[in-house]
Amino acid sequence: MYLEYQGRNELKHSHIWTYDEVQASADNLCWDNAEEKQGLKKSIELINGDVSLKLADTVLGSSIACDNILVDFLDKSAEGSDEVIAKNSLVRACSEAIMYAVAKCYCVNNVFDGFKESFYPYDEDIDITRNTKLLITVFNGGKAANSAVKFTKFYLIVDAAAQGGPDAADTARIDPIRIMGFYQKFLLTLKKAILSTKVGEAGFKLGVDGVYFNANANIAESFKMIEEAIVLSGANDEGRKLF
Amino acid sequence: MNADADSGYNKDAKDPGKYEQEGQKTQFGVEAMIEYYTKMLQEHPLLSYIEDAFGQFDFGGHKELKEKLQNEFPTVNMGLRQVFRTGGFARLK
Repeated sequence: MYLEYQGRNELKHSHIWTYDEVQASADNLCWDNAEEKQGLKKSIELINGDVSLKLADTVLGSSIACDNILVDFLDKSAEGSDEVIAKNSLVRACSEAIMYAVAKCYCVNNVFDGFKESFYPYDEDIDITRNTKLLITVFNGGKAANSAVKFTKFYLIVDAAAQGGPDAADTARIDPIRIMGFYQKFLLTLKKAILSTKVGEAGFKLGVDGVYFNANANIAESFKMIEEAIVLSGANDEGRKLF
Repeated sequence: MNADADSGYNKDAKDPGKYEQEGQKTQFGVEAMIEYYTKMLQEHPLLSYIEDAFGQFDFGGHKELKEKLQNEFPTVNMGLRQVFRTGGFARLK
Protein backbone atom coordinates (compact mmCIF):
# COMPACT_ATOMS: atom_id res chain seq x y z
CA MET A 1 0.00 0.00 0.00
CA TYR A 2 2.82 2.41 0.84
CA LEU A 3 4.42 1.79 -2.49
CA GLU A 4 1.22 1.91 -4.45
CA TYR A 5 0.25 5.18 -2.84
CA GLN A 6 3.49 6.87 -3.84
CA GLY A 7 4.12 4.72 -6.88
CA ARG A 8 5.84 6.62 -9.62
CA ASN A 9 7.98 5.53 -12.48
CA GLU A 10 10.51 7.04 -14.82
CA LEU A 11 8.60 6.32 -17.98
CA LYS A 12 5.52 8.21 -17.09
CA HIS A 13 5.09 11.08 -14.69
CA SER A 14 2.45 9.60 -12.50
CA HIS A 15 0.82 9.68 -9.15
CA ILE A 16 -1.38 7.08 -7.52
CA TRP A 17 -4.30 8.68 -9.28
CA THR A 18 -2.80 7.79 -12.63
CA TYR A 19 -0.90 4.74 -11.50
CA ASP A 20 -0.87 2.07 -14.11
CA GLU A 21 -0.49 -1.37 -12.59
CA VAL A 22 0.37 -2.94 -15.91
CA GLN A 23 3.45 -0.79 -16.33
CA ALA A 24 4.51 -1.03 -12.71
CA SER A 25 7.39 -3.34 -11.99
CA ALA A 26 10.45 -3.50 -9.83
CA ASP A 27 12.38 -2.10 -12.74
CA ASN A 28 10.70 1.22 -13.11
CA LEU A 29 9.87 2.33 -9.60
CA CYS A 30 12.43 5.02 -8.92
CA TRP A 31 12.99 4.83 -5.21
CA ASP A 32 16.72 5.13 -5.61
CA ASN A 33 19.44 5.23 -8.20
CA ALA A 34 17.68 4.42 -11.46
CA GLU A 35 20.65 2.45 -12.74
CA GLU A 36 20.59 0.15 -9.77
CA LYS A 37 16.93 -0.89 -10.26
CA GLN A 38 16.65 -2.20 -6.72
CA GLY A 39 14.38 0.51 -5.35
CA LEU A 40 11.28 -1.58 -4.80
CA LYS A 41 13.19 -4.35 -3.05
CA LYS A 42 15.02 -1.91 -0.78
CA SER A 43 11.82 -0.04 0.06
CA ILE A 44 10.06 -3.22 1.11
CA GLU A 45 13.02 -4.23 3.25
CA LEU A 46 13.00 -0.84 4.95
CA ILE A 47 9.24 -0.88 5.59
CA ASN A 48 9.23 -4.44 6.89
CA GLY A 49 12.38 -3.80 8.89
CA ASP A 50 13.27 -0.45 10.43
CA VAL A 51 9.98 1.38 9.88
CA SER A 52 7.83 -1.47 11.23
CA LEU A 53 10.05 -1.82 14.28
CA LYS A 54 9.58 1.87 15.02
CA LEU A 55 5.80 1.62 14.82
CA ALA A 56 5.13 -1.87 16.20
CA ASP A 57 3.14 -2.11 19.46
CA THR A 58 2.68 1.65 19.56
CA VAL A 59 -0.71 3.19 20.20
CA LEU A 60 -0.93 6.34 18.13
CA GLY A 61 -3.40 8.98 19.21
CA SER A 62 -3.01 11.23 16.22
CA SER A 63 -1.33 11.70 12.87
CA ILE A 64 1.14 14.02 14.57
CA ALA A 65 2.17 11.29 17.02
CA CYS A 66 2.70 8.97 14.08
CA ASP A 67 4.72 11.56 12.17
CA ASN A 68 6.86 12.29 15.22
CA ILE A 69 7.94 8.66 15.22
CA LEU A 70 8.58 8.69 11.49
CA VAL A 71 10.54 11.94 11.66
CA ASP A 72 13.01 10.22 14.00
CA PHE A 73 13.57 7.78 11.21
CA LEU A 74 14.65 10.45 8.73
CA ASP A 75 18.23 9.92 7.73
CA LYS A 76 20.28 13.10 7.71
CA SER A 77 23.64 11.36 7.72
CA ALA A 78 24.40 12.05 4.09
CA GLU A 79 21.85 14.49 2.76
CA GLY A 80 21.58 14.52 -0.99
CA SER A 81 22.70 10.97 -1.62
CA ASP A 82 20.37 8.74 -3.61
CA GLU A 83 19.90 6.35 -0.72
CA VAL A 84 18.98 9.07 1.76
CA ILE A 85 16.60 10.74 -0.70
CA ALA A 86 14.91 7.39 -1.26
CA LYS A 87 14.70 6.68 2.46
CA ASN A 88 13.26 10.11 3.25
CA SER A 89 10.77 9.82 0.40
CA LEU A 90 9.73 6.51 1.84
CA VAL A 91 9.11 8.09 5.26
CA ARG A 92 6.85 10.68 3.65
CA ALA A 93 5.09 7.94 1.73
CA CYS A 94 4.49 5.97 4.94
CA SER A 95 3.09 9.06 6.65
CA GLU A 96 0.67 9.69 3.78
CA ALA A 97 -0.27 6.03 3.53
CA ILE A 98 -1.05 5.81 7.25
CA MET A 99 -3.14 8.99 7.03
CA TYR A 100 -4.97 7.42 4.10
CA ALA A 101 -5.46 4.14 5.98
CA VAL A 102 -6.87 5.96 9.03
CA ALA A 103 -9.32 7.80 6.79
CA LYS A 104 -10.36 4.46 5.30
CA CYS A 105 -11.06 3.17 8.82
CA TYR A 106 -13.41 6.09 9.46
CA CYS A 107 -15.27 5.67 6.22
CA VAL A 108 -14.36 2.72 4.04
CA ASN A 109 -16.46 3.71 1.05
CA ASN A 110 -15.53 7.36 0.87
CA VAL A 111 -12.01 8.35 1.81
CA PHE A 112 -12.90 12.01 1.44
CA ASP A 113 -15.47 11.72 4.24
CA GLY A 114 -12.95 9.64 6.18
CA PHE A 115 -10.42 12.48 6.03
CA LYS A 116 -13.03 14.90 7.30
CA GLU A 117 -13.95 12.70 10.23
CA SER A 118 -10.37 11.90 11.17
CA PHE A 119 -9.25 15.55 10.99
CA TYR A 120 -12.31 17.24 12.47
CA PRO A 121 -13.78 14.58 14.80
CA TYR A 122 -15.49 17.03 17.15
CA ASP A 123 -17.20 19.23 14.60
CA GLU A 124 -20.83 18.31 14.33
CA ASP A 125 -21.53 20.90 11.67
CA ILE A 126 -18.55 20.82 9.40
CA ASP A 127 -18.29 23.95 7.31
CA ILE A 128 -17.91 22.99 3.67
CA THR A 129 -15.12 25.57 3.27
CA ARG A 130 -13.03 23.57 5.74
CA ASN A 131 -12.89 20.46 3.63
CA THR A 132 -9.40 19.13 3.22
CA LYS A 133 -7.97 19.83 -0.21
CA LEU A 134 -5.24 17.92 -1.95
CA LEU A 135 -2.13 19.95 -2.71
CA ILE A 136 0.15 18.56 -5.39
CA THR A 137 3.49 20.15 -6.26
CA VAL A 138 3.78 20.77 -10.00
CA PHE A 139 7.16 22.55 -10.21
CA ASN A 140 10.16 22.71 -7.90
CA GLY A 141 12.37 25.75 -8.40
CA GLY A 142 13.90 28.63 -6.48
CA LYS A 143 17.38 29.98 -6.06
CA ALA A 144 18.55 26.99 -4.04
CA ALA A 145 17.68 24.66 -6.91
CA ASN A 146 19.41 26.93 -9.46
CA SER A 147 16.17 27.70 -11.20
CA ALA A 148 15.69 30.99 -13.04
CA VAL A 149 12.28 31.20 -11.37
CA LYS A 150 12.55 32.61 -7.86
CA PHE A 151 9.36 31.01 -6.55
CA THR A 152 10.26 27.63 -5.09
CA LYS A 153 7.04 25.78 -5.70
CA PHE A 154 4.00 25.89 -7.90
CA TYR A 155 1.14 23.78 -6.63
CA LEU A 156 -2.05 22.33 -7.99
CA ILE A 157 -4.82 22.41 -5.39
CA VAL A 158 -7.60 19.90 -5.93
CA ASP A 159 -10.88 20.73 -4.25
CA ALA A 160 -12.76 17.43 -4.29
CA ALA A 161 -15.70 19.17 -2.65
CA ALA A 162 -16.21 21.42 -5.67
CA GLN A 163 -19.79 21.22 -6.77
CA GLY A 164 -21.89 21.86 -9.82
CA GLY A 165 -20.90 22.19 -13.45
CA PRO A 166 -22.77 21.05 -16.55
CA ASP A 167 -21.90 17.37 -16.03
CA ALA A 168 -23.40 17.27 -12.54
CA ALA A 169 -27.05 16.30 -12.35
CA ASP A 170 -27.45 18.50 -9.31
CA THR A 171 -25.13 20.13 -6.83
CA ALA A 172 -23.60 16.79 -5.87
CA ARG A 173 -19.86 16.36 -5.66
CA ILE A 174 -17.95 15.32 -8.72
CA ASP A 175 -17.34 11.60 -9.03
CA PRO A 176 -13.76 10.83 -7.86
CA ILE A 177 -13.20 8.84 -11.05
CA ARG A 178 -13.94 11.96 -13.07
CA ILE A 179 -11.52 13.94 -10.90
CA MET A 180 -8.82 11.40 -11.76
CA GLY A 181 -9.64 11.90 -15.42
CA PHE A 182 -9.26 15.67 -15.14
CA TYR A 183 -5.96 15.22 -13.34
CA GLN A 184 -4.71 12.86 -16.02
CA LYS A 185 -5.61 15.39 -18.71
CA PHE A 186 -3.83 18.09 -16.72
CA LEU A 187 -0.67 16.00 -16.54
CA LEU A 188 -0.77 15.10 -20.22
CA THR A 189 -1.23 18.73 -21.25
CA LEU A 190 1.55 19.85 -18.95
CA LYS A 191 3.86 17.21 -20.38
CA LYS A 192 3.04 18.31 -23.94
CA ALA A 193 3.84 21.90 -23.00
CA ILE A 194 7.13 20.80 -21.46
CA LEU A 195 8.05 18.77 -24.53
CA SER A 196 7.40 21.79 -26.73
CA THR A 197 9.93 23.95 -24.86
CA LYS A 198 13.51 24.39 -26.05
CA VAL A 199 14.96 22.39 -23.18
CA GLY A 200 12.28 19.71 -23.35
CA GLU A 201 11.76 17.06 -20.72
CA ALA A 202 15.49 16.79 -20.06
CA GLY A 203 15.49 20.40 -18.84
CA PHE A 204 12.42 19.91 -16.68
CA LYS A 205 14.04 16.94 -15.03
CA LEU A 206 11.66 14.86 -12.97
CA GLY A 207 12.82 14.64 -9.35
CA VAL A 208 12.77 11.59 -7.13
CA ASP A 209 9.61 13.03 -5.60
CA GLY A 210 7.88 12.89 -8.99
CA VAL A 211 7.90 16.67 -9.44
CA TYR A 212 9.28 18.55 -12.44
CA PHE A 213 12.19 20.98 -12.02
CA ASN A 214 11.06 24.46 -13.04
CA ALA A 215 13.13 25.21 -16.14
CA ASN A 216 10.94 28.10 -17.23
CA ALA A 217 12.61 31.48 -17.70
CA ASN A 218 10.31 33.40 -15.40
CA ILE A 219 7.26 33.35 -13.15
CA ALA A 220 4.85 34.41 -15.91
CA GLU A 221 5.83 31.43 -18.10
CA SER A 222 5.30 29.06 -15.19
CA PHE A 223 1.84 30.44 -14.50
CA LYS A 224 0.95 30.29 -18.20
CA MET A 225 2.00 26.65 -18.51
CA ILE A 226 -0.03 25.56 -15.49
CA GLU A 227 -3.04 27.73 -16.31
CA GLU A 228 -3.25 26.36 -19.84
CA ALA A 229 -3.03 22.80 -18.54
CA ILE A 230 -5.84 23.53 -16.07
CA VAL A 231 -8.05 25.06 -18.75
CA LEU A 232 -7.49 22.18 -21.18
CA SER A 233 -8.06 19.58 -18.47
CA GLY A 234 -11.69 20.72 -18.31
CA ALA A 235 -11.63 20.53 -14.51
CA ASN A 236 -13.06 24.00 -14.06
CA ASP A 237 -16.32 25.08 -15.52
CA GLU A 238 -18.86 27.75 -14.94
CA GLY A 239 -19.82 27.51 -11.32
CA ARG A 240 -17.24 24.85 -10.51
CA LYS A 241 -13.61 25.29 -9.49
CA LEU A 242 -12.03 21.88 -9.06
CA PHE A 243 -8.38 22.96 -9.70
CA MET B 1 2.73 28.97 -5.11
CA ASN B 2 5.57 29.35 -2.64
CA ALA B 3 7.18 32.79 -3.07
CA ASP B 4 10.22 31.97 -0.91
CA ALA B 5 10.54 35.65 -0.04
CA ASP B 6 12.99 34.85 2.74
CA SER B 7 15.71 34.04 0.23
CA GLY B 8 15.65 37.63 -1.03
CA TYR B 9 15.20 39.38 2.33
CA ASN B 10 17.77 41.78 3.80
CA LYS B 11 20.24 41.28 0.98
CA ASP B 12 21.39 44.89 0.84
CA ALA B 13 23.09 45.97 4.07
CA LYS B 14 22.59 49.64 3.14
CA ASP B 15 18.87 49.15 2.67
CA PRO B 16 17.72 46.58 5.27
CA GLY B 17 14.25 45.14 5.65
CA LYS B 18 13.68 45.07 1.91
CA TYR B 19 13.04 42.28 -0.57
CA GLU B 20 14.98 41.58 -3.71
CA GLN B 21 12.12 40.64 -5.98
CA GLU B 22 13.02 41.38 -9.56
CA GLY B 23 16.78 41.44 -9.66
CA GLN B 24 19.33 42.95 -7.33
CA LYS B 25 18.57 46.54 -8.28
CA THR B 26 14.93 46.35 -7.30
CA GLN B 27 14.38 46.37 -3.56
CA PHE B 28 10.77 46.10 -2.44
CA GLY B 29 9.38 47.22 0.90
CA VAL B 30 6.28 45.59 2.43
CA GLU B 31 3.91 47.91 0.59
CA ALA B 32 5.56 47.25 -2.77
CA MET B 33 5.49 43.52 -2.11
CA ILE B 34 1.77 43.63 -1.34
CA GLU B 35 1.22 45.61 -4.52
CA TYR B 36 3.23 43.00 -6.41
CA TYR B 37 1.10 40.14 -5.04
CA THR B 38 -2.11 42.09 -5.64
CA LYS B 39 -1.21 42.59 -9.30
CA MET B 40 -0.36 38.90 -9.59
CA LEU B 41 -3.71 37.88 -8.10
CA GLN B 42 -5.55 40.19 -10.48
CA GLU B 43 -3.70 38.77 -13.49
CA HIS B 44 -4.03 35.14 -12.40
CA PRO B 45 -7.51 34.50 -11.01
CA LEU B 46 -6.76 30.79 -10.57
CA LEU B 47 -4.10 31.63 -8.00
CA SER B 48 -5.64 30.68 -4.67
CA TYR B 49 -2.75 30.10 -2.28
CA ILE B 50 0.37 32.13 -1.48
CA GLU B 51 3.00 30.56 0.73
CA ASP B 52 5.95 32.33 2.37
CA ALA B 53 5.04 35.68 0.87
CA PHE B 54 7.39 37.45 3.30
CA GLY B 55 10.53 36.67 5.26
CA GLN B 56 10.50 34.05 8.00
CA PHE B 57 10.00 36.56 10.81
CA ASP B 58 8.52 39.49 8.95
CA PHE B 59 5.27 39.18 10.86
CA GLY B 60 4.26 42.73 9.95
CA GLY B 61 4.33 41.84 6.26
CA HIS B 62 2.35 38.65 6.79
CA LYS B 63 -0.23 40.55 8.85
CA GLU B 64 -0.70 43.24 6.20
CA LEU B 65 -1.06 40.68 3.44
CA LYS B 66 -3.58 38.71 5.47
CA GLU B 67 -5.71 41.84 5.92
CA LYS B 68 -5.44 42.63 2.22
CA LEU B 69 -6.53 39.12 1.25
CA GLN B 70 -9.41 39.08 3.70
CA ASN B 71 -10.71 42.39 2.37
CA GLU B 72 -10.09 42.05 -1.36
CA PHE B 73 -9.41 38.39 -2.18
CA PRO B 74 -11.41 36.33 0.33
CA THR B 75 -10.97 33.07 -1.60
CA VAL B 76 -7.18 33.30 -1.52
CA ASN B 77 -5.38 31.65 1.37
CA MET B 78 -1.86 32.21 2.68
CA GLY B 79 0.56 29.79 4.30
CA LEU B 80 3.71 30.09 6.42
CA ARG B 81 6.06 27.21 5.80
CA GLN B 82 9.31 28.96 6.67
CA VAL B 83 8.15 29.77 10.20
CA PHE B 84 8.52 26.07 10.98
CA ARG B 85 12.22 26.10 10.16
CA THR B 86 14.89 26.04 12.86
CA GLY B 87 14.26 28.61 15.55
CA GLY B 88 10.80 29.52 14.33
CA PHE B 89 8.85 28.35 17.35
CA ALA B 90 11.32 29.96 19.75
CA ARG B 91 10.81 33.32 18.06
CA LEU B 92 7.04 32.92 18.14
CA LYS B 93 7.12 32.32 21.92
